[in-house]
Amino acid sequence: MSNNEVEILLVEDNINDAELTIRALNKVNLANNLVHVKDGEEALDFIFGKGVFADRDTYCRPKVILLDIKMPKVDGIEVLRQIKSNEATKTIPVVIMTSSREEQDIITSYKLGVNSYVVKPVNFEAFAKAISDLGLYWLIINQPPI
Amino acid sequence: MLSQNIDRVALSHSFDERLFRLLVASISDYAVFMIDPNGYIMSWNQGAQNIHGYTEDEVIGQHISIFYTNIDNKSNEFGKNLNLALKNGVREMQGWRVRKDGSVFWANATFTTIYNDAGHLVGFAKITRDITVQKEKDEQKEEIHAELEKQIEQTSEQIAANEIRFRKLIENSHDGITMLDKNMNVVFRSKSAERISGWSNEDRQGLIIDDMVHPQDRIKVKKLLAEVIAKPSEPILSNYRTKHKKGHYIWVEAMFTNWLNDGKIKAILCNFRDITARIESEEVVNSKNQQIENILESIADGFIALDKDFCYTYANKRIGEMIGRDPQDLIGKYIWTEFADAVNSPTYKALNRAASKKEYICNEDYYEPLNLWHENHIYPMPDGGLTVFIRDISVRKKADLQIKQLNENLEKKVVERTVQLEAANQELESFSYSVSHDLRAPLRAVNGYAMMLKEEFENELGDEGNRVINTITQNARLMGQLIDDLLAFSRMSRKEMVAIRVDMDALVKVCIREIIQNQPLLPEIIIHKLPPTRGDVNLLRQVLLNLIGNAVKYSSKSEHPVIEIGSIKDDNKRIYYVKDNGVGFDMKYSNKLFGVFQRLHSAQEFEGTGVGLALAKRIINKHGGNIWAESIQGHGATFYFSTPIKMNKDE
Repeated sequence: MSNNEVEILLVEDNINDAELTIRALNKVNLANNLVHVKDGEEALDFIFGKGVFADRDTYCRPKVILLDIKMPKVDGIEVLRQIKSNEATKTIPVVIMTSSREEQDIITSYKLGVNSYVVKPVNFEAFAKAISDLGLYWLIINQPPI
Repeated sequence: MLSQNIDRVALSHSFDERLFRLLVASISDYAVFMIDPNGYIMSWNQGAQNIHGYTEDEVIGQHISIFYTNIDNKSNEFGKNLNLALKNGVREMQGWRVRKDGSVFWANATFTTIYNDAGHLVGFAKITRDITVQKEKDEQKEEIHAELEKQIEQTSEQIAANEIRFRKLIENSHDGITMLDKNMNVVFRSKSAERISGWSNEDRQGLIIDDMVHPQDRIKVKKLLAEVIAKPSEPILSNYRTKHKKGHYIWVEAMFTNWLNDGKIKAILCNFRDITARIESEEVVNSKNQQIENILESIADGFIALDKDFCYTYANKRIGEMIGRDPQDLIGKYIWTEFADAVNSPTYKALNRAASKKEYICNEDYYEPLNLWHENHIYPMPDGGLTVFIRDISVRKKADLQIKQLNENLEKKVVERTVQLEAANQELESFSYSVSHDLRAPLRAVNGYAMMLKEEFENELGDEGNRVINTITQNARLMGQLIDDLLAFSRMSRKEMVAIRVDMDALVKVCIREIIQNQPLLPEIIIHKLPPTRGDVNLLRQVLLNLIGNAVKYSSKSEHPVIEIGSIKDDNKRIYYVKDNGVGFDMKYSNKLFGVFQRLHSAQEFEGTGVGLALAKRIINKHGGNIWAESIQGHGATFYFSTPIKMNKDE
């Protein structure tokens, strides 16, 4: 998989959560073109073609970005802000996936233009179902802007 | 008589007859001439010519009757005169005589008989003087005299009349009049005096003024009378008490004038009037004034009175203490020279305003030289002056300042505490944020990996392995629920409440729909008509979800679960209840029902975290209401909550 064929960008600092997410997506065969980055800074590098992703063709955009909020360095809210305030990236669907039910986070996210906000359930079955539903929805059902 | 005539002839003989004739001839004021015994003129002189108008030539030999008026001639006046002269030797008379030109003059004439040496009558010497002017003068004098007499008579009458008049005046005068001699004995007392003192004019004898005077006034009156004696003609006024004839004393105002040296009066005149009523009313006024003064002196406030020119007319002791001066020292002084440094102060303006607008004004002011905070109550007076009550409010002011400072400190502290609280809240928020994120993630991992294990190795694990994994995942799920509930609970206390009108009927229906979604066994639910209330719809929804959810949960093991939702009528508040016929609880533990993590049933019996009712209680309390429950164990429970009918606007 080249960086230019990415369908899902998973931004998640928690490796366990990442593994569970990828596993859930794998079960429905949606994890083939998935890139996992471990913090906000790396996510921005990927999206805007900087740093280790400098050679990436930024015209090729992921079909969906699954974005955690609480991350070291640059948090999810900041990543969201930058994606949604850039003309080139603002139409990329972004789904916030977080443990936080904090109203403030939800409101801020929607104000910044998030496409969906999902609270990760503790229960694995529920979690797995939520992830697979999301993947199915954004990669198959949803018609992206391009 | 004979020797006289002889002497006279002898005398004429002894003189040089010629010289004598010359002398007679030159007398010009007197007519001196001789007539013979029959009355014919024998000699003439210059005086005779001047008086009668005839020359010697014209008159010698003429009869003397030519000098007489016709009337006199008819009555033989001339003959009578001569006879009288003959009889007495000399005849002097006065009468009208006629001049040559026919005019008359008043004459004084003397006939003297002349005898010769042999004793025969030779004739008469006649001396005549024109005394017309003198006669006129005498007549004028007489007239003047008569006039004078008349005037005197008139004046006397007038005086008499005046005296009557003045007497009447005196008698009818309001003032009493007495006259005293130099020994202070009463010599006259007017009727008016009698009316005042009861003593009549007839009573006067033996009455000495000194005896009449009230003992307490005697020294004063003694001094007064001494002064009267010492200062003649000078009126001297005094007040004293004197004895009435009936025995009591009356106050009199008396004016003494010493006229002892006046020839006409020769007495000390005393005009007096009864001022008992005046003195008594003055005493009443004085006692009233004294009373007022006593009050003003005893009040704790300073008090001053100013006249319309802002000069002190009164200042009490207290104001003296306040400003450290003798209050008497202020009287008559202009306030703004005494307190020049207060000109244009708020008090200055307040006094001017009160005086000009004639209105009561109260002001507060600080007088720096005395470090004096004072409160003034300024009252305008009808005469244009002011009265001012001045209260020392330094203590109060200092207390005010202290309070103000304390308040400021307090406010500062409140601000500090608020900042601290906000910081604490902030911390709490970030704490719960972390909890929300970080506590759940490992649980999710525990749960997730356990599930992965189960999925991947279900066959190898066997029954016991699977039971263990199920227990792990169940507990992880429960802990997740606990964390969620706890977060909801802490969020609730931080959350701002938005109060609106809430349709409780509709809200209950929504909640029931939500609850029964996941319920395999549907209980019978009876919903009575519910009144609306005011509150935060999301929070009330949580309460209802909790109470109805509990009702469903705890009645789920009943044979025929029934849940009843209704309200109780109350004038002051809304009371709603949720009743079930479930297991109920022991009332002795009812105090534990609403505590966080407090449960009356085990997780094995009924699932739950023990947060729901605590959260409900917190929400209802936040609405200003109450929540409580009743139960008979084994026969169901009823949970009540109330909300106030009227809530504060900002709630």
